[in-house]
Amino acid sequence: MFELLSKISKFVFIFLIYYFLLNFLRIMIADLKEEKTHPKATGFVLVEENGKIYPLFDINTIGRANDADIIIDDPFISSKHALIEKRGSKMVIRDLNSTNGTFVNGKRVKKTIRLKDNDQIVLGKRNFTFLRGERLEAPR
Amino acid sequence: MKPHADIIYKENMAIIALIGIIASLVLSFYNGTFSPIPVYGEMIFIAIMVSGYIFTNLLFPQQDPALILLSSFIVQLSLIMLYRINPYSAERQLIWYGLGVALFFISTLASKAWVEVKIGDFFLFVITALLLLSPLVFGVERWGSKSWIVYKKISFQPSELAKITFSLFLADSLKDRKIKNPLQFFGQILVILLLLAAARDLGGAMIFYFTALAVIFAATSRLDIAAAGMLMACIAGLVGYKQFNHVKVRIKAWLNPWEDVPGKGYQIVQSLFAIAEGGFFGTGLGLGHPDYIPAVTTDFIFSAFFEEFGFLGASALIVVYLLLIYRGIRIALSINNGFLSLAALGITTFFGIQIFTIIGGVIKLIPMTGVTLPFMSYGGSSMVMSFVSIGILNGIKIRASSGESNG
Amino acid sequence: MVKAMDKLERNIKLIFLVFSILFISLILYLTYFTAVEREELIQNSYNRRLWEQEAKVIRGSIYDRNGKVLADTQVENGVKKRIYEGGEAIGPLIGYSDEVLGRAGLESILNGELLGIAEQDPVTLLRKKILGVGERGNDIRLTLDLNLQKTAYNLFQGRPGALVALDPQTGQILALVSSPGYDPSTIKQDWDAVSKDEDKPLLNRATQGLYPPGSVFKVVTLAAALTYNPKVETETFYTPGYIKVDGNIIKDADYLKPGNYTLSSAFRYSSNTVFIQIGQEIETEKMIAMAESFGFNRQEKSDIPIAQSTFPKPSIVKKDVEMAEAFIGQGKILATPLQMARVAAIIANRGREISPYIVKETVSPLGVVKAREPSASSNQVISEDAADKIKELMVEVVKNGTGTSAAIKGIEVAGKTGSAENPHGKAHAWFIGFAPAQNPQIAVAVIVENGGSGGAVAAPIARSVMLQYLTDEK
Repeated sequence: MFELLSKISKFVFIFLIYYFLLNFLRIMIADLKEEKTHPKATGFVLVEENGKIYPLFDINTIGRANDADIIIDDPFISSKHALIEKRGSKMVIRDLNSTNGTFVNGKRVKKTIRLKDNDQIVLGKRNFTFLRGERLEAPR
Repeated sequence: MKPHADIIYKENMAIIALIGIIASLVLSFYNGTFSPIPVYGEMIFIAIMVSGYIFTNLLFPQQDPALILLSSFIVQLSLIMLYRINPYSAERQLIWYGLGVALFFISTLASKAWVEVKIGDFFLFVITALLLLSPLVFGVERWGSKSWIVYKKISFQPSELAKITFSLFLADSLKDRKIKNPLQFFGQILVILLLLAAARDLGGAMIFYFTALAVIFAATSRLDIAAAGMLMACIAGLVGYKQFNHVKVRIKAWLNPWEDVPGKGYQIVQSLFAIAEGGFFGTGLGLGHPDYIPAVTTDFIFSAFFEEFGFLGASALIVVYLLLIYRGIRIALSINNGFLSLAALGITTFFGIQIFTIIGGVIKLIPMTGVTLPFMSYGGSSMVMSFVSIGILNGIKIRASSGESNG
Repeated sequence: MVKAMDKLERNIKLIFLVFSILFISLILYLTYFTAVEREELIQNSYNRRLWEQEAKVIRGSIYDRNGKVLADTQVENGVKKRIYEGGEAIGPLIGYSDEVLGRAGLESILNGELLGIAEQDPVTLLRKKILGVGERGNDIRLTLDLNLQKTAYNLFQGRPGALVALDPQTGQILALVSSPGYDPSTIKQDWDAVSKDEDKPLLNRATQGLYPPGSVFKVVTLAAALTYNPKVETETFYTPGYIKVDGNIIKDADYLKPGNYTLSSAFRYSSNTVFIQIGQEIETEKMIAMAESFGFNRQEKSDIPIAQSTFPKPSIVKKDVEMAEAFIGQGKILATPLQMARVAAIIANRGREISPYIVKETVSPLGVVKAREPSASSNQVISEDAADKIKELMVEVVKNGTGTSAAIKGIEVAGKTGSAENPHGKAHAWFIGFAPAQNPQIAVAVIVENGGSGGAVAAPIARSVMLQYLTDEK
């Protein structure tokens, strides 16, 4: 009796165990999809003069346009003004042919340049600081 | 949590329960006539698991549910095997599971709200050292190593807790991505290893060593240190082989257990026989012979499991462990804080190395060492501390999700 | 700062990769283990699970070709006892199966069948369960003739040696004797004495003993000569009683006078020197090929483990001498008695290949009979013509030559004697032959270690065995 039960249940167990694993596979796939639609924060941020913090992702278009990643409503900022993106382990910025130009630490950005911690970025008349997110943990 | 994922997690919890219920029903007929005890035990298990899951989900919506589920899955299998081998041990394991889940909850809370206390790495080192020293001073020797402390009827292995403090120590020392004071740092690690060696816990020493290596490499990216570390490990192995008889015995038994089957090779040979008997689908629950295997509730529980659940069952278990590691790594990657990331890595690495070591040992891929299989082997300290460990991982995950990475 | 975080990330991913590889290699190793190593381990005699199975099952019986019991399991008051019939004559062949001593002989080789664990497909299992016969293993019927086996064994009178008797038309083994033997019924009590006996009764000399065949090998040399150098039939060879090869002198037996010999007379009187000359007329490769097609250098797959008989590939330096020795069955050439019986059987079978086997069929407790006879080979080792010629010459050996002690009144016996020089003392006495010559029913090979003259010592044993078998047949 027991032997029979055991021999049958054997297959049931195997089935259940693998179904369990399958479920985790589904979760992993869902996670991956999630990463695609919700890009991971890079850990870097753009802090505006007035204190507003914009978290930076892999690709960030900055401008007045409604579909920009970071929307700044300012007449001196073009609809697509600048682009900050992740290149390897660094963040880089380039100007998207804006009317009033993009400036990093006072210098006008002509081609793509790398951003360093604490760089001062000026778009039109707005000032931003480029920072590493970790610094902004709950102050003690 | 995303609703879709939530359903899958709940489904998995149901699967664990189902496996347990079926197994307990089968086992209730083990002695011929129906005995309701396994079913009662299963009910208690399910109660603990479900309440643990719901409770933690309620209070920590951003937690990683996979942690408690994966570990509960393994514990479920453990309880099934232990009941079948020795019902009394299953009873105790269940109690420790309950304790473990409770501590899981507490340690999640603690590490979530953790003040970045400036304990400092030196203090962490001292705690670790003291933990490892204590059994040497007032502990007892069991199965060749003096790493147990016994009080009244309760025995505890401080080295299990030391793993956690050691991970924190490593993380704190290396959080700035470089070794502040190499001499002191390596010296501290050496002390820890020596304490373990003094307790004759060479398996433990090995795990601590490789974990340290991994975390150091992760933090500093210094391949040269990693390579040197590997080399030193090989040398240590060779020296150990020549100098220490019982290392020699272990390695010889690994290379050719057939030389002395009734003596030195007995354990591993019996393990291999059990695994051979298992085949693809296993013999079926209760139809194997764990009574032929020595130390079957602790070191060789994997072999007993393989015998009854076969290659398919055992491989699935290995994958589940890998998933646990995966979740731990994922947590380490998700947090931007160097200290926490390295701590998560350390804890996860401890698990990973330990699991690989014990499974590799019982299947004769590598020599046997006296380490246990987390969540599966019979043992209170291991179970409880493992839950504390994943509780810490959980806490870190919550901090990562609540946006600490963006300030 | 920027870099550091990503490096850490990368390193952590790397570490995960390492873990994945480690864990996957665990699974891969287990796959290999389950596919390959598993079988061996299950049958390992240290594996208590096998003994558990044994305890549950009644071990099957072993019978000879006429249904006589050789090994049987009897149950008395719930206690199982394995009994054997045949005494010392059957020990090295049948062997034993014991928890303490382990397993040997056919009891070991056929263990799976005897316990019924060889095939366990679910349907058979179910049937067994329903019919209530699950607890018995398979019975095995051998081709062996127990009476013949006992007679042959007694003729040795405890002297070390072996005898193999085959049915040349089918390859069935009629007798497989190794002397001295042991009685499996008392092996447990006798273990100390038997295992320490200098004459090694536990060894099965018939299948595992490797000896220089001596002059009985001339049958193969003869076969090679007739096949590759037919003119040898009409040649005349002169011998002064010795021959010099590469500075080594090989002599004929004392009773051989120097003079002229034909193939027939040289064979009849077993002249070494003439046969070396004959052999030298055959290309070395062809000689080796002929030996190999008779079964030398072949790793046999059979019911019983058979040691490999070797015909050496000569070294470059001492080629001539080594080949010369090989032609007369001396030097590095080694043969098991079974192999020499096969040689005789091939000649008896008119040159057709034969595969010796000892298990006739297995009978399951449900009554299912499975024949184990290998399919007859139609391979011609030598032409029928050549075989017939050799047979004629072998008949002459028994009629007028060195093998007259094998003659049986009223039956034509074919044979060849041999006295193999060996470093351990007197020459080994060999005899191979078959009878009746025109329609052979039995082929034998006999060796008496250090017995001296094949004609005087081995031939009479062969004679008695053949006589009993042929008269019993009638």
